[in-house]
Amino acid sequence: MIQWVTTLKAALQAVMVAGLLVSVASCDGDARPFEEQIEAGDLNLQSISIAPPANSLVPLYIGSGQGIQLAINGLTFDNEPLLISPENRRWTSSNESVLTVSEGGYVIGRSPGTAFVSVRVGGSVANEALLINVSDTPLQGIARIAGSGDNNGVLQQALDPCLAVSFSAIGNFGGEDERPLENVEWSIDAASLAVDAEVFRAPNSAPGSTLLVGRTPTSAGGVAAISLTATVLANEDEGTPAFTSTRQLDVDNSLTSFSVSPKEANVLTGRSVRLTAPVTYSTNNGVNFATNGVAWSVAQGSQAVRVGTVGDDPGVVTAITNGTATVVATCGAFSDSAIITVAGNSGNLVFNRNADIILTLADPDFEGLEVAQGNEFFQENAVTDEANWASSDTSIVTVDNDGSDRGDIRAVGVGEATITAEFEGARIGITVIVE
Amino acid sequence: MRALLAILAFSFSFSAHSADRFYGEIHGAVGGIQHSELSFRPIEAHFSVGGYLWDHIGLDLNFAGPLEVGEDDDFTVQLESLTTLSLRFDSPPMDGLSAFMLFGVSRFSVSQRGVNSQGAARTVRENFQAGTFSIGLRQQLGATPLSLVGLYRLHYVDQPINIDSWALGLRAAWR
Repeated sequence: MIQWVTTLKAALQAVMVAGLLVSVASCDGDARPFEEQIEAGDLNLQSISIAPPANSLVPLYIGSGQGIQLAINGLTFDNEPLLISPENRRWTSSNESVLTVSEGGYVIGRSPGTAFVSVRVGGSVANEALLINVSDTPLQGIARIAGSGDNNGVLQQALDPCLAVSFSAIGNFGGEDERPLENVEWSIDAASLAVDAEVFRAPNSAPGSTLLVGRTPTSAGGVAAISLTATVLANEDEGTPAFTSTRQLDVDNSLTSFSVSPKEANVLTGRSVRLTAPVTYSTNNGVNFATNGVAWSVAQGSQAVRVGTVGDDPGVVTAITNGTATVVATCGAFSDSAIITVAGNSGNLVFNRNADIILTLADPDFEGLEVAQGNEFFQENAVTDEANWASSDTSIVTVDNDGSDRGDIRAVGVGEATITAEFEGARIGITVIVE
Repeated sequence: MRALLAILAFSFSFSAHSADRFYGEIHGAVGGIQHSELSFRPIEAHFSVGGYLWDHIGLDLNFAGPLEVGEDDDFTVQLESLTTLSLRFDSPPMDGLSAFMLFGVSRFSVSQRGVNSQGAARTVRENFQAGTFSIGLRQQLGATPLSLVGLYRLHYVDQPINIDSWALGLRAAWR
């Protein structure tokens, strides 16, 4: 009996100690630096530096609650620059009550003050820590409109035709505290349209910035062609009024050559091809690409393709249905075109019919169009209810994209449109003619 | 730490009536450190002291340090220092041979040295805390207080790095 009691005591002691060990056995440590060191070796990395956002100013200010994404620039032993992913790195803030920085290099201001941000990649420490000031001073006005073509304070006076230039509104927060503003509304006045100008947002551009393009040169001796205005709305929470600032710009008569590349392309239905617009200017050497700034359109065969224009995948031609199309790029008096031939389908999707669908307004409904994966239609491969259905022109024909009626078509106007079905990245189109 | 010491003192107070139950061990070990498709085999020296709370249940405190770096590609790796506290469970001996398992926690640091294309060396060093599991065999050497010990030791960290070792050593036991 005594032996059993003592054995039980021993077992209980073991459990107590085991529990203690388990409770403190939380794993800790980071193997990432070892992987990074190998990555650094593969990249032949000599040094790294922290890069603030492209349109940021020195000294760098942010507000409490405001965030900025930092990047890492690398330099190889061959003095080649590298862009190194900021994700999953050892970022540190010298004062986390002032600002914090995530493992992905995203800085958030916490309270007024200054702090240094540094980063380490595989044993390399950024050459210089980045000093960031956090301030809660409210906006006092728009100091100026800054452009990516400005050079050390010398403002760019004239734009090269069709070359999109980025502009930011620089806010004055008092003293040396100037920052690019994020909540800015951009506009150009009506007279600017005489030079075929546009302001537009581009994907991945800095918050609050805009792209401006002018296509028709200003007449010699004329007044400034474009009035670009930045407006910041009043902020009741911060008690700041609305602010506006305007910058005048001309468009140079500098365009010397203009073309579209490639001149011809064959594309499968549902697939895309990217056209570019190489140009040359008298104001600088070499070939530039005005792809983002030229006006793209489909001159012929609009049922076969669609083309993205400024602010929306410019120059990207998506094949909708079989046919030939002429895609035109225009820059003022200059224009060029490419012939796009659409043939076959994506290889992944197929309709249960090949012929065009012909409807009348008197008998507008068409049911039974189905789509399947594969090169030949089999009902067991149908993805009709999972596909995303769309019409190229809903004023001519509509298509249901909900529930069990997916793919049901209704004519609403006379003309020609394309119904497309998209599934897992593949797209197929069929022409619908309404008489 | 105070709680740990208190529990240890409390636990050993129950083992006063047991047989000779303290030991020291010295091991030579081949470590294994794998990450990023690289594999290193550094050589390590281990030293352990321990005691039994009861006949077959005890505590083990292990220290380790490097003897030789492991090499792969342009990199060398070594286990710079290691401390492990484990709870051990021994099987009853048969003809002097017994098996044992240890469950514990460990703290250690690993350093990796790389030489770049310009010949310059750069070292990264990381500290880890891990759960540790060991399994092995011990053979009593006749009537002496000495035993031969062989064991496999695995340190688990929730990271994409594997750290373990194979060790062979000698134990001396006393009351």
